[in-house]
This record gives sequence, structure tokens and C-alpha cells, in this order.
Amino acid sequence: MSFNILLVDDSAVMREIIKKTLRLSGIPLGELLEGANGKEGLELLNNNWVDLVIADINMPVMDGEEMLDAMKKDENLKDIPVLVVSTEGSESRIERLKAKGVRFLRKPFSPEKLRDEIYDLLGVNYHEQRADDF
Amino acid sequence: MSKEQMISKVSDIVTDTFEKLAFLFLVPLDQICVEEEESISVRVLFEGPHKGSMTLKVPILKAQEIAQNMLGIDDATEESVVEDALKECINILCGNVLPELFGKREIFKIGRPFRIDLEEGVDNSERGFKVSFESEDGYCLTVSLLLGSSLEEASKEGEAGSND
Repeated sequence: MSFNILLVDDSAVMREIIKKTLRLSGIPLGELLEGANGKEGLELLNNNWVDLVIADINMPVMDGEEMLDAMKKDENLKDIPVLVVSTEGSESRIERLKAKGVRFLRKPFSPEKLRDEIYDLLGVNYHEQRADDF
Repeated sequence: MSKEQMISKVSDIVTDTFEKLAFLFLVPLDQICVEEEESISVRVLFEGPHKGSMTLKVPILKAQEIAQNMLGIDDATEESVVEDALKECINILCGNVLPELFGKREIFKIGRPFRIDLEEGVDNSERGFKVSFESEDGYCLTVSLLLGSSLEEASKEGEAGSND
């Protein structure tokens, strides 16, 4: 089983870092889609099958929180798991995001930490997943 | 929080960030190193309970290695790629430093990072400090923080406003 993942971040460098970290994490990857803001992310979500969204918060045009709110209003998108990766340090803002049902991972993060968060979010047992890989 | 404590926290964040982000192992130095090599500097401005800036200065050869490690590519010598990688570094550093120094309940707005050609003097004054780090192969990186108000004043307000 592999996962199609949508990366939404206005920094092309950060998208590359996340892609590299995903590859190092050992997560079986399907298609990796990329958007530079929430608007692009929604367009990609409407045209592709996505298992997980990894998004930044602070972005131009449409930020991550606005994208999340739009997803929650859409019957086809509301149940897609979202992992927010950000430098956001304010606990109040992080708590507000978590209340909307997303996971939060602070940059920087190790491949293992990213893998654990994603598997936990997707309800995947790491050891079972490894057994499936062999 | 004393200035020494602030420097210690910033040092911890810088070493941890570069280790995770670029597999780069840094050791904080007691003194600010005088870098003879050509360097690249990036800065980010922030505002909120306190205004200020954070700056990162890295020798170009080391910056190229950082970009290569961050992006997982063998040859990252293109200047714009190296610059973007360092901008991401200072963005992450600033995002982690501010809540540690001024409280996790405070909301800061961090601007878009930009390159600076000439580093303005950020002495170890009452409004800021510099910390230098040495890599395993002897390169020197410097991080500086400069506030609009005195560190002591900002630190006291941060402690008062923090619920940690």
C-alpha cells in the first residue's frame, strides 16, 4: 500500500525538504502533489485522489487555516487527514488548529518523527506496514 | 531570563535545527569568530509583543553544503538555491527562538526572509547578541538577534506574559 500525499507550502525549498524527509522516512509513497498555497491545494484535492495533506500555515493567496476551513465544508474533502508543518510557536494558534482536527508538527523534524506522526494520523501500524513491505 | 540564558537557549535551538535540517553538527563558541571567507547573510524581521530581527551568516562553501543536505541533492551551487535554503533556515530558527525566549502564548508575526549584502553591526549590546558556531570541518556560522527594546525589558515582559 502506498500513500498519495499533497504538499502545500509556499516555499519550494521546504517542499523539497519534506519530499526528501518522506523518502528517508520509509513511508511507501505513491504520487506526491505540490501546491504553493491553499488555493492551489484545493484545486489539486478536487482533481486527485489524496490520502494525506501536509500543509504549512502561513502562505500567500490562501493560508493553511483557510484551506482547512474550506476542506471541512466540502463533503468530499472533509475527512482527508491533515498534518500541519510549521514554525508556528504560539500555543493558542496551535490549539486552535488542533481543535479543527489537524495534527501539528513543528519544523525542523526528523524522518522518524514525520513517519510516526503520519502513521499515527492515518491509523497505520508501523510494524504491520514494515511486514507488508517485505 | 538573563542574557546568558537567552544565548544558551538560542544556541540549543541553532544546534538542534541544523542537525535535523542539514545533518550539520555545530558547537557554540565562546567568542564571535571573525570570518575571512566570503559569506552569505539572510535576515528575518518579526513583530508582535516585541519587534526585532534575526540574522544568519554562513560562509558560501558551507552554505552550499547545507543546501545540498537540506534538499538531498548532490550539487547545490546555484546561488538562488543556496539563498533559499538559508532563508528557510533563518525562518525555522526564528520560529523556534521567539516562543522559547518570550513565551509560548505570545503571537509573533514573522516576515519573509531576505538576503542582506552588508551586515549591519549587531554588537553584544543591551538590545541584542551574536553567537558563533563552529562546524566539524572548522567553518564558522554566526546567528544574531536584535530587538527594538532592551533584552532585559523584553525578557521580563515575556516571563510575565507566559503561562508555561
